[in-house]
Amino acid sequence: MAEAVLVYALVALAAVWTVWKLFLPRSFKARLLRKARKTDCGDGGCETCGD
Amino acid sequence: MPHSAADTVIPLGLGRRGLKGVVVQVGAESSSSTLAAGELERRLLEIGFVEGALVEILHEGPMGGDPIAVKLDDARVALRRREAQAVLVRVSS
Amino acid sequence: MTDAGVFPDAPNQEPVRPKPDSMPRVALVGPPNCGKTALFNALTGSRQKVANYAGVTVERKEGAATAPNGERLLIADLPGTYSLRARSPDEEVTRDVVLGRLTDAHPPDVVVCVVDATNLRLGLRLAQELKAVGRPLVVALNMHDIAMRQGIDIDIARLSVELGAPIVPTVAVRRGGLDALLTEVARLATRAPAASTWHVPNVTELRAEHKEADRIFKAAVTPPKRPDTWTGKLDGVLLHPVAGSAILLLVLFLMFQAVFTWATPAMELIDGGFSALAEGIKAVLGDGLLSSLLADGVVAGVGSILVFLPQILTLFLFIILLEDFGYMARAAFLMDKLMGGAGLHGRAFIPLLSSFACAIPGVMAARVIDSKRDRLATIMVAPLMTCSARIPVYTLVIAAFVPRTSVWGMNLQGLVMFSLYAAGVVSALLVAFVMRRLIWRGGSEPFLMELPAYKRPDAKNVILNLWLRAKVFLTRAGTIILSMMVLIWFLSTFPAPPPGAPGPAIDYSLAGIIGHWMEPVLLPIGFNWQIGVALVPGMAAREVAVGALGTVYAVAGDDVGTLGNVLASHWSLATALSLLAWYVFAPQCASTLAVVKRETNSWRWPVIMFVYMITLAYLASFLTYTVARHFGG
Repeated sequence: MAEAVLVYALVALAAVWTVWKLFLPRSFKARLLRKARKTDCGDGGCETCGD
Repeated sequence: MPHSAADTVIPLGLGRRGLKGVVVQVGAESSSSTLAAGELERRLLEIGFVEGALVEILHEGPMGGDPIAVKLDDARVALRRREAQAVLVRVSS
Repeated sequence: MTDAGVFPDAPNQEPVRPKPDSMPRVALVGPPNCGKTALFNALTGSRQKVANYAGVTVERKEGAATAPNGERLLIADLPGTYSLRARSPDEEVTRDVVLGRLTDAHPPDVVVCVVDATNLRLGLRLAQELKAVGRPLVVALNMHDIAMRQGIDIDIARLSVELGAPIVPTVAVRRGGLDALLTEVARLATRAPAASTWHVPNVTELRAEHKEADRIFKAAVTPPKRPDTWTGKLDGVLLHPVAGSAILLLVLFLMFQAVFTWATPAMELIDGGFSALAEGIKAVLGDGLLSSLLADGVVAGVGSILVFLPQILTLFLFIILLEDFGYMARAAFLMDKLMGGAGLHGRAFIPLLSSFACAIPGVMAARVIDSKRDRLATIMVAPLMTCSARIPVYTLVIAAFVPRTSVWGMNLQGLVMFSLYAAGVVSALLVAFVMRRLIWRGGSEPFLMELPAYKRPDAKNVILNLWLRAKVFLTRAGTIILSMMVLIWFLSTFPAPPPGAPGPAIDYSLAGIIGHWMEPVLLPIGFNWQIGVALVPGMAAREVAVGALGTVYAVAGDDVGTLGNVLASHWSLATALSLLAWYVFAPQCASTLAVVKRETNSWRWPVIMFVYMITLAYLASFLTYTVARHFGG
């Protein structure tokens, strides 16, 4: 039982990761991340800004 | 037509391998390049084709002798004959 | 050139510490071939961050360096340019960063103009433009050792006075002069910039700058009594119409043979390691669901991709060596007429050659082409070049179906591989030719490029570059491919077959359902449903199809040895050849399409690319399959 739950959790994690990395548009991700982190994109160190 | 007589002025694009000379004009209108004349002139200037520079045709391309590789003062530059037409050279040998 | 990126922003995992805001910013500017990137690598080591400038897709390379006084400096490597008058997106970035026009990058506190000591004039002209910008300027007289060896005598004090900027001789590859350069930069970093007087120079001003550069040059430089002839002699052979072309072919051929012979021992080692790991997991965890996920999904899937790392590194090694040696420009020279015949620019040779590693860096490298039409034509055909992500598919099928015999003293498998590469090149040229006729009629850009002096590649620089590329490949295998493998395992495992079902379990799974659903479309080109299953995740990246086939067949309950043997027993030769033909053309790479969208800033080009490539793929596979069947394959 615990094993099945773990397997399903791993599969769900992989699905979320794949959708995030591959299919979501960058601008959408940038907006989400900016809201969450409140970083300012003026500095050169920001990794999610721009295109 | 290839020329080789000394002191004649020819477009670089007509030169053969071994031609040596001095650039006397950059941006000659005779070029059939698709760039606007002023743009080609600037690009040639930026890469070092300037009046007074020493040129020598070192190599010709394997197919149809185009493009050409020229020694330009201390540098080596490759360009197509079509653009080289815009560079007039006083032949020295 | 990074590897076939599933996500193009892959390499930005190493944030620069401390927070860059507090550090003085230094911009490296210089003409192409001045050794700027080698200098950047020497200054920052592997502590680099590669990302993109906002809105454009020009690579933004930054790294930190520490000056001898302990001050930390944030150094940016800007694209090479002869002039701040920008003609290509790359050169625009250089101009905008230097002039402080970018909103997402602070203007540099110090500009370092990197010039090639053996070819000073162009650098001296650029330095005059940079002086007009008004920011503190240091000139790095790079490759000073080579200049001295050639007998070029440069009076540095005089040069500095005439130019009106401090000059530091550097030898990037041997880390010479780096401390002096950083000291000078740190000293100037606190100085306030003067107002910029830079404007786009007109031809009269360009000539005046040249005259000034020439004056400075004559005042400070004594030319060698016996000029160096090494580059000239080498060019005599390498640019020779016959010998040069033969050598170019030989270099390319050697490159591909090496990919197949050198890499084999390392590949066997990796393969063995992953098999042992999978067996170990099964032994420890037994036969449960989790054990299957880890062994059949994760380890088998990722292992079947990682096994190709040695080949990809061999290919990259060749490209890096040829680039550093200075041969790439020669190859472009030799290829220009051929490229021109297809309507491409000689410079397209470099993006297309990069595409042998991966179409994504190839598409991005097309930025070196100034004209939009030439650039688009290059971008559109770049994915037809055989990228390293196809290697896993090709090697798998070739190893399974092509005998390991010798033909005319050459390895038949290598020969088939070479012909697949050739098919890619020829079709790229043909498609470019047709596109230039159909879409963009009219002339192309001038071919005008410097032929840099030959240099011995520096081992450290080569290793660093190789490492950066390997890292990108490994990151991908470790992240996106891993998660794809888990999903594929899920698709091919669930739903479980009903108890007592006769067929293999995967027949009842989601993947089986999709595969069967695609079967009617794929039947005319000889693909079975297992291939259909593998093609779907193969859209993420071509090589994923190999892992998917591994999963599909491993899960199907066949364990007669390596995947190759499994395929050999399941597929006809005609099917195998048809799959090879498919992979020459098919747009099986979502990230390439995404990058094309970004580079062209429109959905139009990726859509055209997808349609033309999938049409060609289907036709080629259909033809191959029909012909092979006819001959009894």
